[in-house]
Amino acid sequence: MIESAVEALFIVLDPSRLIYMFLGICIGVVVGLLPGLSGTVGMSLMLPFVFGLEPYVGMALLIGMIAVIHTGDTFPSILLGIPGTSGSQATIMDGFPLSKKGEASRAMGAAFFCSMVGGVIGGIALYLTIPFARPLITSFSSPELFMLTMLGLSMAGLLAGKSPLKGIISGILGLLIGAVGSAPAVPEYRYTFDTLYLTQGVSLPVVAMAIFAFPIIITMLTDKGSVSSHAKLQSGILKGVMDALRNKFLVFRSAVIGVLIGFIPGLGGSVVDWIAYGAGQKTVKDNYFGKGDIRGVIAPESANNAKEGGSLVPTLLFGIPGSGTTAILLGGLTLMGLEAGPKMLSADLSVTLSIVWTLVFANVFGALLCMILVRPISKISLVPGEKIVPFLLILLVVGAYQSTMSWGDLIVFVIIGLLGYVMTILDWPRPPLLIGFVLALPAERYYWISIERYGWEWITNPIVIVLACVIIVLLTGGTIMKRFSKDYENTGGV
Amino acid sequence: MNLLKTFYVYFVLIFTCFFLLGCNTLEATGTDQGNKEGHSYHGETISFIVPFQAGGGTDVFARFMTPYFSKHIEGEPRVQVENIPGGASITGTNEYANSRPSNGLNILTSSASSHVPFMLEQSSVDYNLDNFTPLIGVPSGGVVYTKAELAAEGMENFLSLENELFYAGISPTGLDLVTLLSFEVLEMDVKAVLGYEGRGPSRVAFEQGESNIDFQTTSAYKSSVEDLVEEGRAVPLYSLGQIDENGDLIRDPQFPDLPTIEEIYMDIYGEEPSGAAWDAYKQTVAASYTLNKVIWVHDDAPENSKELLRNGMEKLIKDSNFSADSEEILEGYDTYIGDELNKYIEQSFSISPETKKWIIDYLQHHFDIDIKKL
Amino acid sequence: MNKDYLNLIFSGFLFILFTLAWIEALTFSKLGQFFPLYISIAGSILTFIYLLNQLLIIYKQKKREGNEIKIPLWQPLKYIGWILGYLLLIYIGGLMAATAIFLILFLIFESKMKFVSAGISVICVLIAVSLLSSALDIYWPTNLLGL
Repeated sequence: MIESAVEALFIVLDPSRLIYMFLGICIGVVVGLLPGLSGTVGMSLMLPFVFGLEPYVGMALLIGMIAVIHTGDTFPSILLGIPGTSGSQATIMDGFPLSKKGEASRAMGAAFFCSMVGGVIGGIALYLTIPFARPLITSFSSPELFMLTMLGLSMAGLLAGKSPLKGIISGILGLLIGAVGSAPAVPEYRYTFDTLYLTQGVSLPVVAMAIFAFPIIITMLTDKGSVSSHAKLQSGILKGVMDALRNKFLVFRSAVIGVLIGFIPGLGGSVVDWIAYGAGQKTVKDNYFGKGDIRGVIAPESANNAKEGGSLVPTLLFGIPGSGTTAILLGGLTLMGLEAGPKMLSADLSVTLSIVWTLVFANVFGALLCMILVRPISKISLVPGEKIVPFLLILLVVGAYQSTMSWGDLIVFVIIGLLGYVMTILDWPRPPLLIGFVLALPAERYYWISIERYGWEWITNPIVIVLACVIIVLLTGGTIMKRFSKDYENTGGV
Repeated sequence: MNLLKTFYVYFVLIFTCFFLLGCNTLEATGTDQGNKEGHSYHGETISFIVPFQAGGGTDVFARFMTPYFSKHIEGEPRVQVENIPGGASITGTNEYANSRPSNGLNILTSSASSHVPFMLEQSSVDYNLDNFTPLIGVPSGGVVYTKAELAAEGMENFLSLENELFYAGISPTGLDLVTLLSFEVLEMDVKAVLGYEGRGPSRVAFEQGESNIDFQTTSAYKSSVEDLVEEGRAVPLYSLGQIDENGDLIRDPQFPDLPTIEEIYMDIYGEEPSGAAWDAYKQTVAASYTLNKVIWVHDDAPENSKELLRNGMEKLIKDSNFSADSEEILEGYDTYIGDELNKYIEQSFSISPETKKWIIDYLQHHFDIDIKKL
Repeated sequence: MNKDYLNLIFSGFLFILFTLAWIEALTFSKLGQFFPLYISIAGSILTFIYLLNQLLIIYKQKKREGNEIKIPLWQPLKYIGWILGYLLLIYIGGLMAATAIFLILFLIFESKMKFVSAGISVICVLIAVSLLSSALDIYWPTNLLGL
């Protein structure tokens, strides 16, 4: 295995292939950077070109792009409070407040460094799990997957902010929005109001953008003034990198969370940033997450790049895509004459290993490229709101339209956006809504399959019981901590 | 005065830009202008509508075909894939039927998931495949397999298993329908758990024991299941087969060693299968597998465009590169064009009212599905 | 507008939404029903509790008077109007024309930019959008005029 890894290294370092990788990296950073354009757009853009390419070259292009999308998408999240793609929403929670304090460079320095480390860890994880991938993936049965979605949902409770009840209602609202469209158990359309658009449900990029970007646009206009309240931007990339190094265990923990969640098929990696954020909030001492804590940037950014390495395992070995991006990657594989499956570990092992190397290199180069771009791009946060908003709006409208190329996207964008705006001014937490939305379909699917396949027996599955205990500890721990902090606020206020 | 001048310059600039951009868009959508009465597609752009998200099986098929279309249609037109996802291919097909000009510059690919709803007349279907002219049709196949230990006692024993067989599927109106009907014909007691995300997850469910009878389409079977068979963890039972020109079920040419369910039925029950379930099975095999994907053009497109397209197809299947490359993506099956294709289409989509009613009742009874609501 | 009242209206709206979803869920077939039914029931009960709780809090506050937070409504509505107007323009005249009109109006009336610099910005944006769409193979919203 090590020999073939070295062999693959030379394949990847071939100059003609390196050019394609850099091309992929550039496209990935641009696509990540523009809000609304996500990996799916980048992939469909390149799909026509990969037909007939040599697999190593095509993979260098595609993986180069996938690897750095979650590096590039940090820019809008930190600078404007708008998620660059749906994978970097949690970065907003602390990245944007930092930006308001004028510390955008520091936040981005930390974010890019963590993205790089996370991505490299993801690549290594992909390499290390290759021998065990098969038994590991086939060890998850539907009841266990159901409990994992429940675990993800209980994260919503952690992110609820001051009022748990508001958080739960927000999460339930997300679940309800996620229930729109076709039911998993039966081909029946729900809450579609007889429109064909809604039969496939509301698309995640539109919801993620609407719920975060729409409110920010309005607030920027009503508040006037620029994002950064400080007239001068502090340069702080190095400071950010040092922050990340000081929190190396957090980086590592979050990256492992990212890999694991990416690895589990069917869970959908879209909530990985929130889960890492919630876990960070839970485990970091004396934190002030949500108010501009650099560690609130470190946790999700380490996780979202690491996820890609993890999610390639089920994609390449089982043909199970974890996201829209990897779904198209599968199509790309076929066009290059490969087929996802066990052969990726035997006959086509060198391709798989070249993917590992590309993942590692692309993450390093992508992060370096982004660090170079920090200085020019972060000037955006000094531009007054009313001058930047109209341009953003155009970008968002064009971006929202790309998810299914239908007017429905724009209508949903406005409706969910208005909902998001009202929630913002009334202090309703929005992250639970998103988590609920993403996990609605897996939750329903695995619940239904568990009941249909095992009856009520599945509740006695030992892993299910363990997961249930973890959830209970998480939830009660959360309320106890909240009560504590409430006491603290009350007594501290006097 | 000077100020006015600058204003004027900007006005002109803006309007020039407007004009140029306007032209640009016009050019991009200029396909609406229609095919002039020329003898070739020279300089034209053909929009190739794919009613699925980019990256899926049908999309890959379409993208694989586009360079050959460009090459063989006279005049070497640009062929551009356009994805219109939604409603399991119905949104895009509806759009093609109702909103695209029938000028010979718009073509469509359909798949089993647009054929079966059309056959059963789902209410969301707003297209009529009879109003399209087929250009080329591509078959696919599928293999049903099970755990080795279950099949060890022989076929007869296997078919009589009760409460032991679990099938993991996606949706009873998709490709699963054919497999479910094959269980029905063979009178097997299989508990179908539907709701999985795709064929990949259902295969994982098989490997980890959540299900113990499963099917995969030809390419997935070859890449992922044949290894399991070699390791002795899975045993193929039968291929879903193909329908030949006479309307009979034949062995899948990709799996000449695997029996069809007709042969198994005759082996076990000593007579030929018959009845509504059998008719429904053959009908769905024809519409879902023998014609797995078809590329169409509007019936009322200009006659000479249709002629050019048809000639292009004839040249295309003679291309030796095409047959070599298609091994992977078309799974090695022969493609149908011309009269042969027309005959298959005629045969596959003309369903008798009794069979249709039987399938609808079957879905209603077993899976609680009201076809009128879909 | 008083924030508490607005919150009350919003919770009321959520309550109605969940209840309607509940009623709608009753019409689904058995297999498609359980999930939306569970969550809409949970949602409407919880929002109802929240609503009562809020009413109680407001009732108590009434006695004490004061400390109410005002939320300005006019300004956000104006900007939401801008966004809707932009979408309407796209619907009528296509992305390019709508973008040009919207941008120039917005930049002059809201951002108080000079006409000249607004014009330059518009041109830059139009060029950027068309470059982006040809480079990234991006689709544009369809519209009535078919531009």
